[in-house]
Amino acid sequence: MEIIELTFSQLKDGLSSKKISAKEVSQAYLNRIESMDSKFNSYIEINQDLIGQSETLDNHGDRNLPLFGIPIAIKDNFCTKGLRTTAGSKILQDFVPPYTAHCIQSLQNAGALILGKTNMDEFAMGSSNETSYYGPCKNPWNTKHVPGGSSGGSAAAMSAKLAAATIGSDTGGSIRQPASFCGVVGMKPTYGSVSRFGLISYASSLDQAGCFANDVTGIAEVIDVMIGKDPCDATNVSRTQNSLTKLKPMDLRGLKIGLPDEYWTKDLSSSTRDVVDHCIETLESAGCVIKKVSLPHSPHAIPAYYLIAASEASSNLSRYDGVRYGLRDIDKVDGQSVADLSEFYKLTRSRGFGKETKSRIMLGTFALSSGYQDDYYKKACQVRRLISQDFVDAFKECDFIVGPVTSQSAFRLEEKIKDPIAMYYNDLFTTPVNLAGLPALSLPIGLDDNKMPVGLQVISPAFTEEKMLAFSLAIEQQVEFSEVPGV
Amino acid sequence: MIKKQEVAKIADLARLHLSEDEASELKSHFQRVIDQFSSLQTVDTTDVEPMLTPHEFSVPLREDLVVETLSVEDVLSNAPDTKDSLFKVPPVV
Repeated sequence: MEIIELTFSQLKDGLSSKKISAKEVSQAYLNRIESMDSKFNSYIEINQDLIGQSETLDNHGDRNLPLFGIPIAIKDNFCTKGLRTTAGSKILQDFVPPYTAHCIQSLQNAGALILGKTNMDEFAMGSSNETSYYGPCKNPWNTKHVPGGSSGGSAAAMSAKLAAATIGSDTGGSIRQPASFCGVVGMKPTYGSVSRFGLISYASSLDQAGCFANDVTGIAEVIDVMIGKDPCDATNVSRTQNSLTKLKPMDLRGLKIGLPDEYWTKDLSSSTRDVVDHCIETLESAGCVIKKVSLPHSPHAIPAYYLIAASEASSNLSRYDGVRYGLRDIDKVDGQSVADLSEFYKLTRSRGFGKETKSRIMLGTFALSSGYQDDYYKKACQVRRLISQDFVDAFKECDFIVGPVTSQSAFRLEEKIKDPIAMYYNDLFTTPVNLAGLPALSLPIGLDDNKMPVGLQVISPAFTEEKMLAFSLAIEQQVEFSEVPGV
Repeated sequence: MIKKQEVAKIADLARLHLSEDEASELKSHFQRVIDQFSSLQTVDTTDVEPMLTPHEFSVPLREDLVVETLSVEDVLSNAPDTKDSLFKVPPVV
């Protein structure tokens, strides 16, 4: 069997037992990227030192390391020492970080190799990968369609088998939505589980790193390494972690599964609904007890999410001032006096940020400005607590919540980019999870009428990743989704 | 209604220059967002404390120890302009 066709477990076994070398695996993926990625534009940067690094690993590395020789692609908002990191923005087009993000360093310490950096919406602001300064990424299932976003490049690369696993970040659905659109598994753990140190900040109270893989086992292997204590992130939660890698499928008999009424709305396309409903029938046949639950405040998640995310972004992105790193408007200011310091910042920021980023910085500045703060930012934070409490109440009645990830499968390029509000509402079923800080994943369960993949969203109580993965593994075995894009 | 001057004021606070087109587009975008998001005002939040972060634990403290961090050379490596061990900016006074 060809290397790129191996499952995560087969690849891991082959590498640890020396049946295949890290160099062979790296070369196989590099060849595939070289021959195929021009169609998808899923990578912004390839690691030119990969082959040398894989040889070093083969010669001196410990084959018992959990991710020995596994080539992983990283969303371009994680700092990687010596490897350009742009966050999809022009303002960071020449930024080469002097350090590596904590969770990426953990992957490397576990023997993983970095294939390259993947395309994304600028500063993770977008749901279609079309706000990237480096051009849109295309969906491998149909290149006229978007891969989703903001981690569109990581989802597309996973789907087209251009990496053995990929890393993303999820602020309002940026892992689960593209995972659903591209027919791969994508997971965000509980807020605070994975250190945000070295993850370029968008909205700090919502941002959470996670990963993509072609199966639940692959997700468990990678996320197990990423979760860990880091004193450099004050919101990182210390906890005794059970190993996620000894995963067994959960016994589905008697499990209480909650379906939120608010997720089966009129906006849910009939084609997506059919696929999700069919999966739920399968779970019921396997012994799950299906229950209706309510998340009464979730319809307000979009306004609350966008106001909070934009407010935090307006503060976080103030660091791009043309002084310490990033683009500076050299032609106009270098060596000359400027009228005032504010003008110096404005010239650089106006040239370096794209349209959507400017729009969200503006929205956040507005929501935090005097006279409006109580009506917008504070109100959004109060609604956030109600949304979070809804989940606490719902989990008193069920073990897991499942539902659609999005209201429809991957839409066409340029279909929504001119209507930002329609684009925002694409995140209707994913943002409540971020506001509450819960773990959730998207699992591919079927194709819709357009032959595009549909994901099932699994939501679990905070810090119950092990159970969520065991449950998801059981669903995966029941559903047996085996479709692949015809690339 | 959001006024043109309000958009200009927000742009100034956000340290952004906007072209006429950008300002006009953002003005209508803002109006739509505010109209759409006005549904939030219908939610009863009497006595609800704002939730600023998912896990409201106390902030962890660490020992006040000197630890190794990046070298000055590394810190300056991405700066658009430097002099000696300093970031260089245009004269602003």
